[in-house]
Amino acid sequence: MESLAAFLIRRVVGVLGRSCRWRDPTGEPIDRWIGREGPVVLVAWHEQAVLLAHWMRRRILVQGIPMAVMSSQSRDGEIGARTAAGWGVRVERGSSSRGGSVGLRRLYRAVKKDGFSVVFLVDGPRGPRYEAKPGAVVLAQMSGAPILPVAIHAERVWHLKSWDRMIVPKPFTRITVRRGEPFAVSPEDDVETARVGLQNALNGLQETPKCTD
Amino acid sequence: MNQKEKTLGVIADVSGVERDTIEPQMDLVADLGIDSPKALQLLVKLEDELGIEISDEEAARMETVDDILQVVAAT
Repeated sequence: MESLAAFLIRRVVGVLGRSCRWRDPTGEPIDRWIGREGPVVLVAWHEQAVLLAHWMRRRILVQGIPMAVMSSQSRDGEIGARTAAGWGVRVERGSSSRGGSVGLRRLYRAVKKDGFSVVFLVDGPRGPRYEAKPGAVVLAQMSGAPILPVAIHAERVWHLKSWDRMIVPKPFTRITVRRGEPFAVSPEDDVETARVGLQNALNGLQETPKCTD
Repeated sequence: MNQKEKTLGVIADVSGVERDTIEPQMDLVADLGIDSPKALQLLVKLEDELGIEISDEEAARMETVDDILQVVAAT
Protein backbone atom coordinates (compact mmCIF):
# COMPACT_ATOMS: atom_id res chain seq x y z
CA MET A 1 0.00 0.00 0.00
CA GLU A 2 2.83 2.41 0.91
CA SER A 3 4.64 1.59 -2.34
CA LEU A 4 1.52 2.35 -4.38
CA ALA A 5 0.95 5.62 -2.49
CA ALA A 6 4.58 6.65 -3.07
CA PHE A 7 4.28 5.82 -6.77
CA LEU A 8 1.11 7.87 -7.11
CA ILE A 9 2.62 10.82 -5.22
CA ARG A 10 5.67 10.76 -7.49
CA ARG A 11 3.41 10.78 -10.55
CA VAL A 12 1.17 13.58 -9.27
CA VAL A 13 4.11 15.73 -8.17
CA GLY A 14 5.79 15.13 -11.51
CA VAL A 15 2.74 16.03 -13.60
CA LEU A 16 1.80 19.09 -11.53
CA GLY A 17 5.37 20.32 -11.36
CA ARG A 18 5.92 20.00 -15.10
CA SER A 19 2.79 22.05 -15.83
CA CYS A 20 3.91 24.95 -13.64
CA ARG A 21 6.07 27.91 -14.67
CA TRP A 22 9.15 27.96 -12.47
CA ARG A 23 11.02 31.16 -11.69
CA ASP A 24 14.30 31.57 -9.88
CA PRO A 25 14.83 35.30 -9.29
CA THR A 26 18.48 34.81 -8.37
CA GLY A 27 19.27 33.34 -11.78
CA GLU A 28 22.14 31.44 -10.18
CA PRO A 29 23.20 27.96 -11.26
CA ILE A 30 22.04 25.54 -8.62
CA ASP A 31 25.56 24.35 -7.84
CA ARG A 32 26.29 27.86 -6.52
CA TRP A 33 23.74 27.07 -3.84
CA ILE A 34 24.44 23.45 -3.17
CA GLY A 35 27.41 21.22 -3.54
CA ARG A 36 30.13 23.49 -4.94
CA GLU A 37 31.72 24.32 -1.57
CA GLY A 38 30.67 21.06 0.08
CA PRO A 39 27.43 19.85 1.60
CA VAL A 40 24.74 22.16 3.00
CA VAL A 41 21.83 21.73 5.38
CA LEU A 42 18.91 22.97 3.28
CA VAL A 43 15.97 24.07 5.45
CA ALA A 44 12.36 24.82 4.53
CA TRP A 45 8.90 24.76 6.12
CA HIS A 46 7.05 21.43 6.06
CA GLU A 47 4.10 22.93 4.14
CA GLN A 48 6.36 23.24 1.09
CA ALA A 49 7.34 19.56 0.94
CA VAL A 50 5.57 18.90 -2.38
CA LEU A 51 7.02 22.02 -4.02
CA LEU A 52 10.43 21.26 -2.61
CA ALA A 53 10.29 17.67 -3.84
CA HIS A 54 9.65 18.73 -7.40
CA TRP A 55 12.24 21.52 -7.29
CA MET A 56 14.87 19.13 -5.93
CA ARG A 57 14.06 16.60 -8.60
CA ARG A 58 14.24 19.04 -11.53
CA ARG A 59 17.18 21.17 -10.35
CA ILE A 60 19.34 19.21 -7.90
CA LEU A 61 19.04 15.47 -8.35
CA VAL A 62 19.33 15.67 -12.14
CA GLN A 63 22.79 17.15 -11.63
CA GLY A 64 23.83 14.20 -9.51
CA ILE A 65 24.16 16.26 -6.33
CA PRO A 66 23.80 13.73 -3.48
CA MET A 67 20.92 14.58 -1.12
CA ALA A 68 19.63 12.95 2.06
CA VAL A 69 16.53 13.47 4.19
CA MET A 70 15.21 12.19 7.50
CA SER A 71 11.72 10.72 7.41
CA SER A 72 9.63 9.91 10.47
CA GLN A 73 8.93 6.31 11.48
CA SER A 74 5.17 6.79 11.14
CA ARG A 75 3.08 5.40 8.25
CA ASP A 76 3.08 8.84 6.61
CA GLY A 77 6.84 8.86 7.04
CA GLU A 78 7.05 5.46 5.32
CA ILE A 79 5.21 6.85 2.30
CA GLY A 80 7.42 9.94 2.30
CA ALA A 81 10.53 7.77 2.58
CA ARG A 82 9.51 5.56 -0.36
CA THR A 83 8.61 8.62 -2.43
CA ALA A 84 11.98 10.27 -1.81
CA ALA A 85 13.93 7.04 -2.26
CA GLY A 86 12.23 6.57 -5.63
CA TRP A 87 13.80 9.85 -6.74
CA GLY A 88 17.25 8.76 -5.63
CA VAL A 89 17.32 10.59 -2.31
CA ARG A 90 19.06 8.82 0.60
CA VAL A 91 16.50 8.42 3.39
CA GLU A 92 17.29 7.96 7.09
CA ARG A 93 14.40 7.05 9.35
CA GLY A 94 13.71 8.82 12.62
CA SER A 95 12.17 12.05 13.86
CA SER A 96 12.21 14.37 16.84
CA SER A 97 9.60 12.13 18.44
CA ARG A 98 10.70 8.56 17.53
CA GLY A 99 14.16 7.20 16.85
CA GLY A 100 15.44 10.69 16.31
CA SER A 101 18.89 10.36 17.76
CA VAL A 102 19.82 7.46 15.50
CA GLY A 103 18.24 9.05 12.43
CA LEU A 104 19.95 12.37 13.10
CA ARG A 105 23.27 10.63 13.65
CA ARG A 106 22.97 8.81 10.34
CA LEU A 107 22.27 12.15 8.66
CA TYR A 108 25.35 13.56 10.38
CA ARG A 109 27.42 10.73 8.91
CA ALA A 110 25.85 11.31 5.49
CA VAL A 111 27.01 14.94 5.61
CA LYS A 112 30.32 14.56 7.40
CA LYS A 113 31.66 11.35 5.93
CA ASP A 114 29.79 10.86 2.64
CA GLY A 115 29.40 14.50 1.52
CA PHE A 116 25.62 14.46 1.17
CA SER A 117 23.63 17.67 1.47
CA VAL A 118 20.59 17.33 3.68
CA VAL A 119 17.04 18.64 3.44
CA PHE A 120 15.31 19.47 6.72
CA LEU A 121 11.63 20.42 6.95
CA VAL A 122 12.29 22.13 10.22
CA ASP A 123 8.78 22.43 11.72
CA GLY A 124 8.07 18.74 11.05
CA PRO A 125 7.04 16.09 11.55
CA ARG A 126 4.11 17.41 13.59
CA GLY A 127 4.53 21.14 14.10
CA PRO A 128 3.70 23.63 15.50
CA ARG A 129 3.60 25.23 12.07
CA TYR A 130 6.43 27.72 11.40
CA GLU A 131 8.24 26.79 14.63
CA ALA A 132 11.71 25.48 13.80
CA LYS A 133 13.06 22.56 15.82
CA PRO A 134 16.76 22.54 16.70
CA GLY A 135 17.81 19.38 14.81
CA ALA A 136 19.01 21.17 11.66
CA VAL A 137 20.99 23.68 13.72
CA VAL A 138 22.75 20.98 15.73
CA LEU A 139 23.45 18.96 12.59
CA ALA A 140 25.02 22.05 10.97
CA GLN A 141 27.00 22.80 14.11
CA MET A 142 28.37 19.28 14.50
CA SER A 143 29.08 18.69 10.80
CA GLY A 144 30.33 22.17 9.86
CA ALA A 145 27.93 22.33 6.88
CA PRO A 146 26.23 25.73 6.45
CA ILE A 147 22.47 26.18 6.73
CA LEU A 148 20.73 27.26 3.52
CA PRO A 149 17.17 28.61 4.00
CA VAL A 150 14.88 28.03 1.00
CA ALA A 151 11.25 29.01 0.38
CA ILE A 152 9.17 28.04 -2.63
CA HIS A 153 6.01 29.98 -3.44
CA ALA A 154 3.20 29.01 -5.77
CA GLU A 155 0.69 31.67 -6.85
CA ARG A 156 -2.38 29.40 -7.00
CA VAL A 157 -2.51 26.51 -4.58
CA TRP A 158 -4.60 23.99 -2.72
CA HIS A 159 -4.01 23.43 0.99
CA LEU A 160 -4.40 19.93 2.43
CA LYS A 161 -6.22 19.60 5.77
CA SER A 162 -3.04 18.54 7.57
CA TRP A 163 -1.39 20.28 10.55
CA ASP A 164 0.98 22.11 8.18
CA ARG A 165 -1.72 22.94 5.59
CA MET A 166 0.50 21.28 3.00
CA ILE A 167 0.69 23.28 -0.23
CA VAL A 168 -0.17 21.57 -3.51
CA PRO A 169 0.29 23.80 -6.56
CA LYS A 170 -2.57 24.15 -9.01
CA PRO A 171 -1.68 23.21 -12.58
CA PHE A 172 -0.01 25.86 -14.71
CA THR A 173 0.61 28.23 -11.80
CA ARG A 174 3.76 30.31 -11.41
CA ILE A 175 6.24 29.07 -8.81
CA THR A 176 9.06 31.16 -7.39
CA VAL A 177 12.13 29.78 -5.59
CA ARG A 178 13.91 31.99 -3.10
CA ARG A 179 16.93 31.39 -0.95
CA GLY A 180 18.34 33.19 2.05
CA GLU A 181 21.99 33.71 2.79
CA PRO A 182 23.78 30.55 3.93
CA PHE A 183 25.11 30.73 7.47
CA ALA A 184 27.39 28.51 9.50
CA VAL A 185 26.83 27.49 13.13
CA SER A 186 30.15 27.31 14.95
CA PRO A 187 30.75 25.06 18.00
CA GLU A 188 30.72 28.17 20.21
CA ASP A 189 27.35 29.43 18.92
CA ASP A 190 24.26 29.11 21.07
CA VAL A 191 21.87 26.56 19.50
CA GLU A 192 18.73 28.43 20.56
CA THR A 193 19.97 31.71 19.10
CA ALA A 194 20.83 29.97 15.82
CA ARG A 195 17.44 28.21 15.80
CA VAL A 196 15.63 31.53 16.12
CA GLY A 197 17.87 32.97 13.40
CA LEU A 198 16.95 30.09 11.11
CA GLN A 199 13.25 30.56 11.88
CA ASN A 200 13.45 34.30 11.16
CA ALA A 201 15.35 33.65 7.93
CA LEU A 202 12.61 31.29 6.70
CA ASN A 203 9.83 33.64 7.76
CA GLY A 204 11.61 36.47 5.94
CA LEU A 205 11.38 34.45 2.73
CA GLN A 206 7.66 33.74 3.11
CA GLU A 207 5.06 35.22 0.81
CA THR A 208 1.30 34.86 1.10
CA PRO A 209 -0.14 32.96 -1.87
CA LYS A 210 -2.29 35.26 -3.99
CA CYS A 211 -5.12 32.78 -4.54
CA THR A 212 -5.86 29.86 -2.26
CA ASP A 213 -8.63 27.40 -1.50
CA MET B 1 41.01 11.55 34.22
CA ASN B 2 39.62 8.05 33.52
CA GLN B 3 37.02 7.08 30.92
CA LYS B 4 34.15 7.22 33.39
CA GLU B 5 35.04 10.72 34.53
CA LYS B 6 35.45 11.90 30.95
CA THR B 7 32.08 10.36 30.04
CA LEU B 8 30.31 12.06 32.92
CA GLY B 9 32.00 15.32 31.94
CA VAL B 10 30.63 15.05 28.39
CA ILE B 11 27.14 14.22 29.70
CA ALA B 12 27.28 17.25 32.02
CA ASP B 13 28.53 19.49 29.21
CA VAL B 14 25.79 18.46 26.77
CA SER B 15 22.91 18.36 29.27
CA GLY B 16 23.89 21.48 31.19
CA VAL B 17 23.39 19.55 34.46
CA GLU B 18 26.04 19.86 37.21
CA ARG B 19 28.52 16.99 36.98
CA ASP B 20 28.27 16.18 40.71
CA THR B 21 24.48 15.75 40.58
CA ILE B 22 24.50 13.18 37.75
CA GLU B 23 23.62 9.67 38.94
CA PRO B 24 23.92 6.38 36.98
CA GLN B 25 20.19 5.63 37.15
CA MET B 26 19.19 8.98 35.67
CA ASP B 27 17.08 8.83 32.51
CA LEU B 28 18.71 10.73 29.65
CA VAL B 29 15.47 12.27 28.40
CA ALA B 30 13.34 12.68 31.52
CA ASP B 31 16.08 13.64 33.98
CA LEU B 32 18.74 15.25 31.82
CA GLY B 33 16.65 16.69 28.98
CA ILE B 34 18.73 15.02 26.27
CA ASP B 35 16.48 15.17 23.21
CA SER B 36 17.46 14.03 19.70
CA PRO B 37 19.68 17.05 18.83
CA LYS B 38 21.45 16.82 22.20
CA ALA B 39 21.84 13.07 21.71
CA LEU B 40 23.70 13.80 18.47
CA GLN B 41 25.97 16.22 20.33
CA LEU B 42 26.50 13.64 23.06
CA LEU B 43 27.39 10.78 20.71
CA VAL B 44 29.74 12.85 18.54
CA LYS B 45 31.51 14.31 21.59
CA LEU B 46 31.84 10.92 23.26
CA GLU B 47 33.39 9.45 20.11
CA ASP B 48 35.70 12.43 19.56
CA GLU B 49 36.83 12.93 23.14
CA LEU B 50 37.13 9.28 24.13
CA GLY B 51 38.39 8.02 20.77
CA ILE B 52 35.74 5.32 20.58
CA GLU B 53 33.07 4.28 18.09
CA ILE B 54 29.49 3.73 19.19
CA SER B 55 27.26 1.68 16.89
CA ASP B 56 23.68 2.68 16.04
CA GLU B 57 22.44 -0.36 17.94
CA GLU B 58 24.35 0.67 21.06
CA ALA B 59 23.15 4.26 20.69
CA ALA B 60 19.55 3.14 20.37
CA ARG B 61 19.82 1.18 23.64
CA MET B 62 21.11 4.14 25.65
CA GLU B 63 18.35 5.24 27.99
CA THR B 64 20.19 6.00 31.22
CA VAL B 65 23.57 7.35 32.30
CA ASP B 66 24.56 3.83 33.31
CA ASP B 67 23.76 2.54 29.80
CA ILE B 68 26.30 5.04 28.42
CA LEU B 69 28.90 4.09 31.02
CA GLN B 70 28.50 0.41 30.14
CA VAL B 71 28.83 1.03 26.41
CA VAL B 72 31.94 3.15 26.93
CA ALA B 73 33.46 0.54 29.27
CA ALA B 74 32.82 -2.20 26.70
CA THR B 75 34.46 -0.39 23.78
